[in-house]
Amino acid sequence: MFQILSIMIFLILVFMITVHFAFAIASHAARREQCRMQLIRSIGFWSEKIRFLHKFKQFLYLSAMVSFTALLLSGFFPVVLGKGSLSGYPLLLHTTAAAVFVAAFVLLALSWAPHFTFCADDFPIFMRKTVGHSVAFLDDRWRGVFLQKLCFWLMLILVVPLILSIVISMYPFFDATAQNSLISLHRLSALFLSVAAITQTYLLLISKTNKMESDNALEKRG
Amino acid sequence: MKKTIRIPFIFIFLPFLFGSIYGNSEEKLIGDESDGSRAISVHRIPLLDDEGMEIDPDDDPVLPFSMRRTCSADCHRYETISAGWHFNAATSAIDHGRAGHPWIYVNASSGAQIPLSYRSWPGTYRPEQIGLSPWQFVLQFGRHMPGGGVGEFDESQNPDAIMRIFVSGKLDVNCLSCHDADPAHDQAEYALQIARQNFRWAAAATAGFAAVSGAAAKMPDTYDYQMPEPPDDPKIISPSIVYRETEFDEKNRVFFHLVRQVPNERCYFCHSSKPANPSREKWMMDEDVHLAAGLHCVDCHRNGLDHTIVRGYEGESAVSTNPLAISSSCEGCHLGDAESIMPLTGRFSAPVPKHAGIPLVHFEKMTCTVCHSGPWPEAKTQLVKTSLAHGLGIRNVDKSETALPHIVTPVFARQANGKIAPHHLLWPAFWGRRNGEQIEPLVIEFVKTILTKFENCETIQTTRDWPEFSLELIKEVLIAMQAQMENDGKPVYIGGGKLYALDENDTLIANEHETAEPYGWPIAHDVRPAAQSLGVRGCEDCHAVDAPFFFGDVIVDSPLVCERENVRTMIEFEELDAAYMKTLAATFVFRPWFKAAMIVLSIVLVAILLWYGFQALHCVMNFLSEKEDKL
Repeated sequence: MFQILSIMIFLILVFMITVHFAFAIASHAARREQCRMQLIRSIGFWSEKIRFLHKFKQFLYLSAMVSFTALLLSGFFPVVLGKGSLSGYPLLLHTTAAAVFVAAFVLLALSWAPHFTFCADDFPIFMRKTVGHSVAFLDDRWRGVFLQKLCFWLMLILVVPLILSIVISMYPFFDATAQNSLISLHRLSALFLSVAAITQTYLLLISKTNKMESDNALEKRG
Repeated sequence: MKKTIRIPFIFIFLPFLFGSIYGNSEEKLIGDESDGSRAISVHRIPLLDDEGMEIDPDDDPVLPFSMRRTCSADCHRYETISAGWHFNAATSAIDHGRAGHPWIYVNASSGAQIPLSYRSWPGTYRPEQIGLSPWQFVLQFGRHMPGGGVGEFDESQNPDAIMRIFVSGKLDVNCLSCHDADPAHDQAEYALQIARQNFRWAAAATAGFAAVSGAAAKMPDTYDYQMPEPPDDPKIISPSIVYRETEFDEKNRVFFHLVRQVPNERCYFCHSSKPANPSREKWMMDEDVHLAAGLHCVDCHRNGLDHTIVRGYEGESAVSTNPLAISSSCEGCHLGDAESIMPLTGRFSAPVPKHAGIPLVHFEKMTCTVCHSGPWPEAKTQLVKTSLAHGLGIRNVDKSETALPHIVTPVFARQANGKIAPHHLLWPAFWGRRNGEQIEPLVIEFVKTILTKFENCETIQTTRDWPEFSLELIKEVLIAMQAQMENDGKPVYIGGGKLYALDENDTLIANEHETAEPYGWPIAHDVRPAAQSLGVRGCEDCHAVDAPFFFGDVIVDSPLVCERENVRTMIEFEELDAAYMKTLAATFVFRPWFKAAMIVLSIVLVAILLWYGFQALHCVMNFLSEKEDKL
């Protein structure tokens, strides 16, 4: 059951990102190569402009990304391929990556949380209907920002049961049936966390690319 | 005219005639079907001899009673019973299921311990491969056989023993072996009668009211037990039986204390084991936890009239016709069957285990017996003696700790179903013949003939331990065998997990070979209490860098002196990656820190969520109050 659910959700996610990316690229057809380079640059933490704290944050982000990829591959590959439970070297990789991911994610969450708080602008329709607020604009940029925030808080919420479900099961508190439920909780949390993390990362890269693009345009004008 | 009338008449009645015969063979006898009463059926019955004649203690000669005739005269269908598990080893039409305890042919002086079985268990050899006819097999191992099966001697398979079979008799199913609850029942007497070739007298000799003397082994092939003539030699006593006359009532009936629920002690005669360790005396060892709780062996190992007894292993229901096979395994009683329409858990008040904190992967990869059964694993495996292998319980048994065969235990090895289970292990040792990749043991008489020329082998038999074989001796014997065998394959010696053979230059070469691999069979008893199960003290019971479960030494048993210190690591038998398991074990050192760190980080995350959650709530409250003010 979980195998089918995982495959379906990942396929839908990949399909949606591909379609969105294809449209985004198509709208910038003339500057495709430039966009690609900017996208790559936006991931890098080797930019000369940034300071130590930024470098550290980018290092954390890269650590979280790498460990998340390791977790995703080691955790879902056996499930998707129908090889049963996680064991052997993938298990060692999974637990090691989990430690890195959680540590990096917590530090990132501490620094990112203030930037990802929701504000009145994030709920334009609600604001318009309740107090007649007129700040709302339902464009791509608004959607991107809103979804990024939503994904961030979803990740934050999901990572707690993700960690605790597996750590608690290591203590002699729960019997085999309860452990089965904890494993299911761990798997489902991981699945939805993965969806949120991939979406958030994608949106972050897209928004960074757009920002760099507009910065470049400003520089040229200046 | 008469003929034309009679022929159709016969044809009309033939189906009825055959029908009645067929119907009789299927018809249930008095004792074949229970009326539901839970009371004990009293067995006060006449004794019948081989010919079905009633026995009177004053007969001359007095004949032994036949179990086949006495029990199946009116009450129990012998053919149905004799198809049961304990008697059907030689039946090829059935699935013999999981590998079990083999019969082990031992000859110390020829450096041989060979796992034998009529069952199709990989790693065992059929007795005829080493030259044992069924009659010789029974003579060798009948001490711990309940009769029936090969003991009923099909003459076509025993052409050389037809005359001896007439003298010794056949070894019918001995119902008393299991069902006789009389405290005077003496199963060791049965073993003694087998050794004397008194197969016909063996069952009767176990009964408390009969005494057998003499030996068929001393009788000539022409001996007739129904009309015995005194032997020429006055020192030789022909086999005879005497019944205690007071046991016969006025109708010449005898009371048998037979029970359906077989006493544990009857099972123990064939199914005992003891560590070959002088510091572990019988009185020091605890009983199986089930028996200590008041259960009997047959509460789980049940059968009906067909005697298809539950062996009790996981997956048995796929090959057994016993309807209780699925609910009588460890899982069946303690965990139940999820697919069953009725709850099966908790039979006999079996506690449902919680297994709190044990990762579920353990239940996928290991049997219950790994943690709960057999001796606690130590740094090095030990030797164990069993009834079937060492003849425990019979008179004058060799009580030395090093008595052959050498069975190593507990060895945690992977089973055919992919799960790890505790095993007894036997390293096969024998002289064999190699034809291409095919290797099979040589006929023992041939081996003995060759080995009588070598002094080293002769001196050892008294110790009943391995002889001190050297590589030089192996080489010399192989050369001698090669000369005798000519073109009939190449002689080899199997021992200590290696195959020894001569190359073109008559140089001795030792290689690893599949044939030399040990034969293992899973063990399930004695079951230890939950408080003594593996893992009860924590993961480090198994997941320490030096835990015997993964990294214990398994004795490699060999007659070769130079190979005796060899050991293998347990993990080889578990078919796991040693480097991985070492790494995994090392991680358990940091696991408490890991768990603590994860909990602390989770608390930080929860704090962030609460902090911003309360802020959000504050915003909502402000927003609502502002709106209220505007209104």
